[in-house]
Amino acid sequence: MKATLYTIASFAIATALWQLAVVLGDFGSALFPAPLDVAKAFAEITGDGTLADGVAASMFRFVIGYLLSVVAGIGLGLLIGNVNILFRLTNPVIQMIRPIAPVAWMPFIVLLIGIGDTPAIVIIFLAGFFPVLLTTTRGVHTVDETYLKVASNYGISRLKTVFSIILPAVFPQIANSLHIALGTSWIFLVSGEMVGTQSGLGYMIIDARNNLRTDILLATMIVIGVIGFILDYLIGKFEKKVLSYYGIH
Amino acid sequence: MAYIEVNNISKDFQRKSRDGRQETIHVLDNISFEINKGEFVCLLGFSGCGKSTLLNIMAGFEQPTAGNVSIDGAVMTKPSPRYVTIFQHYGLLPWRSVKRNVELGLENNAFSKAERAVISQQYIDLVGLNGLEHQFPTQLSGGQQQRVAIARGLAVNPDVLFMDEPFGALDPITRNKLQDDLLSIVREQQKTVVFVTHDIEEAVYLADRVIVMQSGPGRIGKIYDVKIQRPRDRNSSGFGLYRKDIYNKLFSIKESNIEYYI
Repeated sequence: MKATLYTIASFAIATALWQLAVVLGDFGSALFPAPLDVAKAFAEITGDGTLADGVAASMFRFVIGYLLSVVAGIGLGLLIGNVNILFRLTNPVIQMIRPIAPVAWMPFIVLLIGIGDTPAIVIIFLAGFFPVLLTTTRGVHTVDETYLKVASNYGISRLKTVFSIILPAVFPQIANSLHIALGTSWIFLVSGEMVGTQSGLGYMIIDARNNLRTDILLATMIVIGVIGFILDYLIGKFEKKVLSYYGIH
Repeated sequence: MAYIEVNNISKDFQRKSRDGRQETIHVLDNISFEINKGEFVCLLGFSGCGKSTLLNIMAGFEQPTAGNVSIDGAVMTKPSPRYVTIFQHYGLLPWRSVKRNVELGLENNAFSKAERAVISQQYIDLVGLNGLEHQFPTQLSGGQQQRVAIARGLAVNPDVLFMDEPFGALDPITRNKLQDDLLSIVREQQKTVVFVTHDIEEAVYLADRVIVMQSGPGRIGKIYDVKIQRPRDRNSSGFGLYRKDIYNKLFSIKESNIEYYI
């Protein structure tokens, strides 16, 4: 109850400060729209379906890119973590590629594949893939030795050990990386759509800029923030559930 | 030929010293002893004397640098469900219920789901956890968790139990209760037990024989035949004599070590 009140107060204060800045700033409402203008713009893009189309396009890319990064990150993480020679062969290159910002890949991917859904999906994939991959690999390397002893003691095969002992044992750590990757992926989705697409929330920002519609621009930014917030809340709940299932608090 | 034969076991570890040179740590030095079928043997010693390393070698988790261990005539090369190890920190899988933990060693083609359920229930009852089948390890006390680990071990019907300070993390009252329950269970099930501990009283209470280990490098100090009637009374004079003897043996060892370092 108290938390809800604080949340409402937090947004109320932020909106008031925004309104104050508009009044004192004297930029003109075309350049720096007031909260009410943005609310009107929000109603406009909701009414004509632009927003729904943009959100749908973005969510489509996001879900595909993120799921691919999760499946590939966990799968390859388990493989690399368990096969030492693979780890030693791949780790140097992974460590070199990892610091390259996903957006830096953008021009290359656009030239290679052309604009459309794929470049944005690749960006989201890259943003999510490395945190999940590295956490999974590290989790496998640091898994409690007792579990491995138990597995070998009871004659459990190597493959079964990986999937029914090691994977669940490191899953709390993986869940944490899924949480981090989700936030990063969402951030990079918007950057990706600002360059390589003709639809989606990132494109809506560029389009609003080109049409000098700062009210739509801000309304879109707020939508991006709200969706990111909801996604984070949902995965946070998932992570908490995983941790409590494992008895970690 | 004895049931378990430990033949001239030595173990070296390689590690990097502080100045970056490779150095060899001599952990176990030429250890030999024998254990008969159905015997309860305690390995007793201070931390760092190599008793856990010795147990790991006997259970097949580690290979000795020299010597070998044979059980029932076969040299140990890898762990086997015939010889189950119970760990100090239980090694339970926290994402599985008590029942599913106990069934872990039965999840192969030899048993149907129904058979697994019957066997796991039998051993859950045996260790006194009836009614907790569907609880998760984190919902249980330390003593209960170790009971689950013991049930899981017994469920595969092993010949030998290797126990690595299994009650070391428990409070004294729980520990005493588990000691009594363990003794009655292994007697009834006719298991051979090798039990590592650093608690003299625990060793005298449980063991048919106590192998006292010296450290630096780990070797056998003395082997005591504990000839006290069971059930044993921790306050009896006979018990006190063993405790005192072993205590003196352990601490004279410690003193001589200290002199050596000065």
